[in-house]
Amino acid sequence: MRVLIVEDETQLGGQLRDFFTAKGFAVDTAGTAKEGLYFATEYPLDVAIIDLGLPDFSGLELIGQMREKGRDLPILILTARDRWQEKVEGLEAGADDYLVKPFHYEELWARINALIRRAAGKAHPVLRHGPVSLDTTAQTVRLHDNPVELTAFEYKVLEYLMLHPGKVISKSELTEHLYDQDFERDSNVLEVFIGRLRKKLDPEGTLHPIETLRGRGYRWSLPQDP
Amino acid sequence: MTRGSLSFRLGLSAAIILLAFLGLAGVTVEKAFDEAARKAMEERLQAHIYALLATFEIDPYGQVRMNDQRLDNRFSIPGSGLYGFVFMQGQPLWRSGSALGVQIPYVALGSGRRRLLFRQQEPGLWILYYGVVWETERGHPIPLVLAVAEDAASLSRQIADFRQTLWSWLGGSGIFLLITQVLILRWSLKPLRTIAADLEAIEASKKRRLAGPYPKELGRLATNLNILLESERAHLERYRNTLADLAHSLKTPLAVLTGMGQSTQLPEPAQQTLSEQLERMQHLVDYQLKKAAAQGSHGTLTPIAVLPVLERIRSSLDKIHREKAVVCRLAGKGDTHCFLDEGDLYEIAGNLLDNAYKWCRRRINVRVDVHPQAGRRHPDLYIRIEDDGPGIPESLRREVLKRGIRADQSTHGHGIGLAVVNELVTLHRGRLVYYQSPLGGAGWEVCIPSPE
Repeated sequence: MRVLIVEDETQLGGQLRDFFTAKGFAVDTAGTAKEGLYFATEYPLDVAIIDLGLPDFSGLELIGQMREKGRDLPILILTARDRWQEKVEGLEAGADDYLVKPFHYEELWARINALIRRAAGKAHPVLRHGPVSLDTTAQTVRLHDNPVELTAFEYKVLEYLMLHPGKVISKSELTEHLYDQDFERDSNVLEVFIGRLRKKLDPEGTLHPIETLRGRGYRWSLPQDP
Repeated sequence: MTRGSLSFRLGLSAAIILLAFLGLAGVTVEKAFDEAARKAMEERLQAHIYALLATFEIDPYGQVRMNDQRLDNRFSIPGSGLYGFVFMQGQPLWRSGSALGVQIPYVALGSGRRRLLFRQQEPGLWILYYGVVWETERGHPIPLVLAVAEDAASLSRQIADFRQTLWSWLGGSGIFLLITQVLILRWSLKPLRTIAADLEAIEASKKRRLAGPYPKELGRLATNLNILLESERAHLERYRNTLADLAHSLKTPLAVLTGMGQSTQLPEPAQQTLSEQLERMQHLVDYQLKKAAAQGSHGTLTPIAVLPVLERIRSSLDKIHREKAVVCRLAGKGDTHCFLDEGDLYEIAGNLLDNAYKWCRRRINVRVDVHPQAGRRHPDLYIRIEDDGPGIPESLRREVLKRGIRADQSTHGHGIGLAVVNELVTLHRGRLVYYQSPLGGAGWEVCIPSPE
């Protein structure tokens, strides 16, 4: 998952970056609205966290411009302004949720997860696809109700695939959503992760949850439980 | 009219001056009239004396002869009040027919001299003596004193009549002037009462400035007061903004610290203390910020349409709680208005609806009503928000309205929502009442009385 953080307070921005990096996100941080708009137009983002009080122009305007450019990623406003009138204005400008500073990281995490799931059309935090279930909040995976040990990156790859079941996802899309812009992009590493995931999720080789479409990418093939 | 009030002072001093003036005028007029009446009487008596002299004759035997027909006939009617006397060398030589039994003292006078006397004893008499030297036919000069006396009663009566007329007129005009004065006073002090009423209205937030029109003398006072009010308001605004800025700028560092507190680099007890203290600071900042904002926006005269605000909040909350697919029904007349500050209405409805969205299972009913009040221009506003959630247990109902108490310890939030609503509603002289909602969960009724 790739998150954009637009926050002019560098310390808080750094903290948020560390938090999301630790959760396995690719993080882009911007200190100004202009920079934020650049990231929003140039990078395939999954979610954005935007502060309202920015040095160049307001976060509300940034959200408006992002929506105008057709960027429909979920946006969470993170601000010190906590009047209801401001909340309503923020949500009407195009944001999807609103969190007031200071905040608890668990709450931010829960809300960001909810937004990502919602964008993928999944309301429930636990995705069940046959024997595989993935808890987006706790970031755990179970196979036939037994916990599966995954590294953070393995988890992120799996989560991205499971959030887009049946859809062909190219290697570049996957890397863009999983790595920071300054990260070394090596598609071989991705192949290694996919290989490990297949082994861990399908030790007997009967399930085939991840299909490889030559030259096109990967596809999560297990249907989601109703 | 209390002692020390402007109208009391003005009224009292004007009344004293008026009474003193009328009194002095009365006394002066009375004196002048007395004088004139005396003069007139003296002249009348003198005329009588000339008349006596004209009809007077002394025969060669020394007897006085008076041609009575040519005299005022009162001289011949006894007790008529007009008496004539002639003295010769201190001895009465002649008296008129009317002067039977009337004695007057003799006054020696030289020729051509005259003297007016008032005889005190009953009956009071005004007597004019006139000295002449009478030459007989033979050329003997005889010094005589003629005297004419008139009953003082008629003059006194005349004077008393005049006095009564004078004083009743003066008294009447005095009362008339006093009443006029009171009316003038009330009329000229009316602008002061107007300005006082306007100031009261400003204090009650029904007006923003002294709009007038006021008389020229008060115009400058009103202008200065307006400037003062404006600067006071600007000062308050600046103060509130500073406070808000301070609180807001504290929030980001607090967020940074909260983030640090949650990192695992600190030992467990330190982490605990840090997060507790941060939580407290956060609550204080939030609470004071909301309170300051609420107090500043107390009272407005611009009517706010209620339903559009509720609709905006509902669609915002629908967006946040999209997964829950809450069915929130909004009922009420579209033209319902209230006189709250718009931000306060958002705060009240936002916090209550937010709670309803958090706690409901599926359904929320919101109803806006107005109840007209006798004697008020605008009706009272009622907003009822009901949900089908678990409701608030009896034991917690009072607690949730206190600052910083959070009934939903498990859900993240600042826990001051209901306390802020309560504070705001109280500030607008309204009520916040909990009741069991017909949907099964919590019901909150907010009543906001109209201004005035």
